[in-house]
Amino acid sequence: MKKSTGDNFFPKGTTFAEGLTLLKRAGFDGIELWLGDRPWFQMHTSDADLRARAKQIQDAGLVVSDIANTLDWEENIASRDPARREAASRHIERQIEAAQIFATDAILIVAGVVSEETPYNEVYKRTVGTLQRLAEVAAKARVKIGVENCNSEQRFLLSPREFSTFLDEVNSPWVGIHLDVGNIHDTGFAEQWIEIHGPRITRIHVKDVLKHRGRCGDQSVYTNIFLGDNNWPAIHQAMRKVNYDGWLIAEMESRYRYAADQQVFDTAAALNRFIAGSF
Amino acid sequence: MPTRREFLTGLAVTPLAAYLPVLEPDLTVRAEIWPEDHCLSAESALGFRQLLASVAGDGSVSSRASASLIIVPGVRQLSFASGATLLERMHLGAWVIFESGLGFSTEAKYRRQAEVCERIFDLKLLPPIKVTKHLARTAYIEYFRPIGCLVRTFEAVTPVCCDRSEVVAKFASYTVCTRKTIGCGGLIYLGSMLGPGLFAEEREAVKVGSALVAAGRNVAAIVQRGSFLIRPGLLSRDSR
Repeated sequence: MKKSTGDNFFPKGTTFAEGLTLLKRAGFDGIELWLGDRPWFQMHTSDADLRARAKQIQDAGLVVSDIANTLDWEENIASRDPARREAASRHIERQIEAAQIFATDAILIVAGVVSEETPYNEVYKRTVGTLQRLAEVAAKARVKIGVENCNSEQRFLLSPREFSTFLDEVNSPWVGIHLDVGNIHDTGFAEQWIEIHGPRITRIHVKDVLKHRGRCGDQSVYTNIFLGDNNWPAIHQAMRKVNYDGWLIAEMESRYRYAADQQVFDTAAALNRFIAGSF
Repeated sequence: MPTRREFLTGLAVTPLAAYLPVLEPDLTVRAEIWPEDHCLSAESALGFRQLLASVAGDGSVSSRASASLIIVPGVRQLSFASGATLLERMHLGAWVIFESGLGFSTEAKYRRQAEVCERIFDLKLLPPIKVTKHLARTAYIEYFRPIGCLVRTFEAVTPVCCDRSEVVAKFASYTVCTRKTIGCGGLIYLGSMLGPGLFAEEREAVKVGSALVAAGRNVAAIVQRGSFLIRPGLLSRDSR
């Protein structure tokens, strides 16, 4: 397995070049690029600029693990507003184009956000329909769309069986699950999600989670690997069971008040320990 | 896919299990299921029935007289008489998938069943182990034959003593599945229940189950066609 983390994990004020150097020094193999998060990768960023970034990444001795986005929360494919829905499709298509430029074969999206105003059944139908169309774009580009399980935040696809049925309905080998083992909270067990989805997992996001809200700083349930309630040996074994040998992408919230870069080093060390299965 | 001649020539010098994964299931050999009268066995039987239906399309469950693959799910109360019938069928060329359900039994029931298994099949069962005690280390059975695979345990396992060459799967350091030739047929012992995993459509359980059924059917098919004798650990041409 290979280690990656997002460019949104770069300590505040870090330039793209400095961030790459930091990841390499910490021992990461790759980087996850977030469309819409940092100034160097926005919807208006040209192909030429992206190619220049690709060169920088290559020169730093890294590769791109996948292309994620932060835009889905505002512009979602399941939105009632046609303009937002179209914008969502556009930024997902841009992710697919970027994946080709950066020579990676996977993107991450948050498909469907249920709210008081936008009910579950509507979101479900719209999400399946739009993904069936986007799957054709992905197939042509040979890039897999990984639908992230943002369970609690999305209030959507809350169980692994339902997620599996959802993927059955989308019915494309180009649409799978970008599984986040920290997002399942107290509604299930990450290792069982891994077992159920097996070959449909496009990438795995790694972070730990506190299953009792409110114990963590800033009221977040997310924390560093091995500090939370995830059963890491079980997760490791489940990955072995389904023969997952792909990218492990740390998705951490910046938590260090001082020496922020230390969290990058600590995360890489924790991932090494996880990959070695040394618990 | 080797020709039948190549396959049989190879078998004369190679352990049977080495060939099992490459074979396509022979659907001319029909399977039968012998469930016991308790819910554990019933659930497991459903799993095996589901598997057979997916492999053969119709469940492929035959009358007792003609089948050469016999599945006995969740066994807890096999009598000497039933054991003897199974043994006779194995001598005639049937392969039996014998799944222990002893993990949920009392010690007294375990002892009775262990005695039947030892006297009839020469199979030495060890006392069941509750898997939960080991969960920190592993939740999976590791199969080595007919395919390599990790499959979830089912609460408890019933280990077995056997020769290293007969090991099919392990749980931690315990052998929990084994296979042995008996007469012209043989026995595949599952000390960890596979049927409930089949019923739950656990991907790896289905892979292993399919491979076991395919293997059992193929060997039984060769015997059914006649003129081949199975000896312990090897298949070889019959000189009759």
